[in-house]
Amino acid sequence: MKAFMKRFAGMSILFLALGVPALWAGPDQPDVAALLQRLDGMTNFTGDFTAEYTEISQHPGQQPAVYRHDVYRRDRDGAMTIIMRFPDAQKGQGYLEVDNNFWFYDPESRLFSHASLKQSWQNTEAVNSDFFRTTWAKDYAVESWSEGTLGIYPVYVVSVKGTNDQVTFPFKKIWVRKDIGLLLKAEDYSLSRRLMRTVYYPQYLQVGDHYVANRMLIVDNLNVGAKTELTIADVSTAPLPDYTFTKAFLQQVNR
Amino acid sequence: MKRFRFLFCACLLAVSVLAFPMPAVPAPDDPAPAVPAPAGAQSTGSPDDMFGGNMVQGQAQAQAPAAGQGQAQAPAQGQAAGPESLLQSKGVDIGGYLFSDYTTFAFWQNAYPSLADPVSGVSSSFVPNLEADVYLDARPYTFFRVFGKLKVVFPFGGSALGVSQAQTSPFTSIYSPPPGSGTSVPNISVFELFADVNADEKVFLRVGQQVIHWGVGYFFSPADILSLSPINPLQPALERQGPLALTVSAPFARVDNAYLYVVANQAMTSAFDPADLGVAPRVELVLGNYEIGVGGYYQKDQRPKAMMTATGSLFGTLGIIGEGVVSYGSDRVRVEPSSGAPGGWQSFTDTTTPYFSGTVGLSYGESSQHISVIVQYYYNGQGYSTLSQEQGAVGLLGSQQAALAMGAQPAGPLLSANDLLLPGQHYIAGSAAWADIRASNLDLGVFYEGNLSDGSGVVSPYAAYTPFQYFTVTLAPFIGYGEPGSEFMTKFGYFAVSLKVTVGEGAF
Repeated sequence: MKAFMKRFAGMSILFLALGVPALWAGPDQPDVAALLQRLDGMTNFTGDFTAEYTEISQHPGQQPAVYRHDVYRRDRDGAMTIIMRFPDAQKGQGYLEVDNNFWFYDPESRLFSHASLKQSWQNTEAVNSDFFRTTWAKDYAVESWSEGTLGIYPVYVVSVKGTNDQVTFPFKKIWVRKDIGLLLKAEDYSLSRRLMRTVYYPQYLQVGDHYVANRMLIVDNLNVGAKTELTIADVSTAPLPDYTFTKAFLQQVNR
Repeated sequence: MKRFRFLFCACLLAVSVLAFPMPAVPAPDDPAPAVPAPAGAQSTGSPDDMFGGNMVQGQAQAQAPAAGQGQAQAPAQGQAAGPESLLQSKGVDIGGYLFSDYTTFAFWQNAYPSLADPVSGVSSSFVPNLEADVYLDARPYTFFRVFGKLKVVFPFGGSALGVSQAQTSPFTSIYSPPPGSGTSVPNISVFELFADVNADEKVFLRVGQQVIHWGVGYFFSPADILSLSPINPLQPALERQGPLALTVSAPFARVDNAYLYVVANQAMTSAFDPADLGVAPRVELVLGNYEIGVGGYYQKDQRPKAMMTATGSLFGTLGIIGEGVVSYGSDRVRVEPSSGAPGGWQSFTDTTTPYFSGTVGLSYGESSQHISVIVQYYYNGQGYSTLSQEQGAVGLLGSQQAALAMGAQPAGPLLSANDLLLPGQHYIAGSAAWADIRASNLDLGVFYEGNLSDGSGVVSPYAAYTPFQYFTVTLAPFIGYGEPGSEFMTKFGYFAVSLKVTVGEGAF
């Protein structure tokens, strides 16, 4: 009994030693690193993913432009293929990303070009990385955080900084729902910390244990009045053939 | 005492447990949490008001992608096609692109225009460009596809020498890129006609007349040895015809590719022999964030070549390309000082000396602002290092043609326009563009190309305004510099201005 009590007391002291710093941080202190990791886990699929994306881009003084494309993702392999379907001028253009290498295929010239995830998507406020799996935990580190409210939702407001030069935006500020950890809003900043665009994620679709933002509003903070609304339809998690993620596939499906 | 010890330890444990914060954020691998939906937000007109209700829709079940809708029409929303359905279509897809632009040029060929009398020495021309690409795309099965593309060029009747999109510029001279093989281009021509088949979706075959690009350069691409015509730096995005070929491609190691080309190129005649076929293997490998291409080409009537390309990025924003080709001997007929006639030139062929040509380039794009900058340097190992050599080659070509016209046989191998394409040894080209400046429908940019070997070049700033869709007006001066008779002074003269109206151009 004495030995048990000694061991019990030792464990208690150990727990206390580990717990005191956390107590100082306050009982509501979130594990923000885990928050980023959880963002990835919620929106990245373990199996294959297919969906149709539609963007309606509005620029001042211009007619709204509509773009439609299919997205095929295999997040576990870091692979994605995009095939443009509308408008006709872009139909057949293809994008392939594998292991952080990104190719654009132009069916007119039949040329592949190494592209960047940082590039704007067509003539919209979206960027190529908006369609791909997220890598919050790998590519961003938390700078600061606070608590707030967005709409009716209590949120964590987290400022993050890119950990490498491959990220599309070197600084971001994100609003994450406290209760279920979904991303609601993101402000994207340039290297000089100039606000480039604001992205709203007002609607999600739950697919199994994962979520996909099936409506996004992207506001251009540089060109006042320019914005793009992005919707996602016909989500599928059916397995895809391996050749979907090859250059040969892009060459075959184009016009 | 024992009871005291127990109470003390229990208190310690309780304090320790309480000291740990409750996990505010669930573990990443937790199952999907329930979605509480607070309600009652007040609208303020801010986008933040979107977060006022249940923002998570019902659970979607895993499902097969919808059946393909064919490609003749834009798909309706909610009809994403599975990858297989994109490879199959019940009907034949027909479409194309209409090129429609009309340009007026004013030239000052022999001197820069003077302020006192700007129209002195000016000449002008009008160049209409009306051309349609029409394609048909048939996909009766996922593993069988036939594709064809026709080009229809104004004037539509008869046969026009070299009238093609590549030749809408009046800057035609001995240094201009030849139209394809150098023969006349009919007004209606088959640009591509090929079939795609595959073996178990692992090996892909394309057979027929097809566009093939090996190089990665934008303005210059010495490693692009299978295309039938070179890049025109003034129109680098222009599609270029490829050979009759069988292409076998096989992806491997997830992202790498192996290719084998069997080429029956422009040398094909009615007496074509299987031994005349060219063979060109190529491998593309991804190493980190760089893609490396390595290939070779052998055809018995041409000099064997080995090539290498590389593409990647620096600092995540700067694109970098490089390519090089080594040729065992030169495919060009070249000139050298005549041994028998001092001051004269004689032509020769070289089948044993290795020639290296290569290019490196950088590109930067700020796509959110529609800004792009590209700069490229080209070392042409088969080019001439001085203006006098270039002029010697031009002079000898002229005298050979004159001799042929008189029925005489010139001494030495015959020069052709292809031998004088990009005659210099060192080139640099670049462009900078800012499109749709602040949503104003105005594009500004500048193009530069220079032959560093003969000291000539051209600078061309431009402004393009699109008041409404499918209508653009472009104003572009061309300012040439260099010695008289140098490459770019011959091609562009001292000064030129073009006014181009592009109307009704687009895909259909």
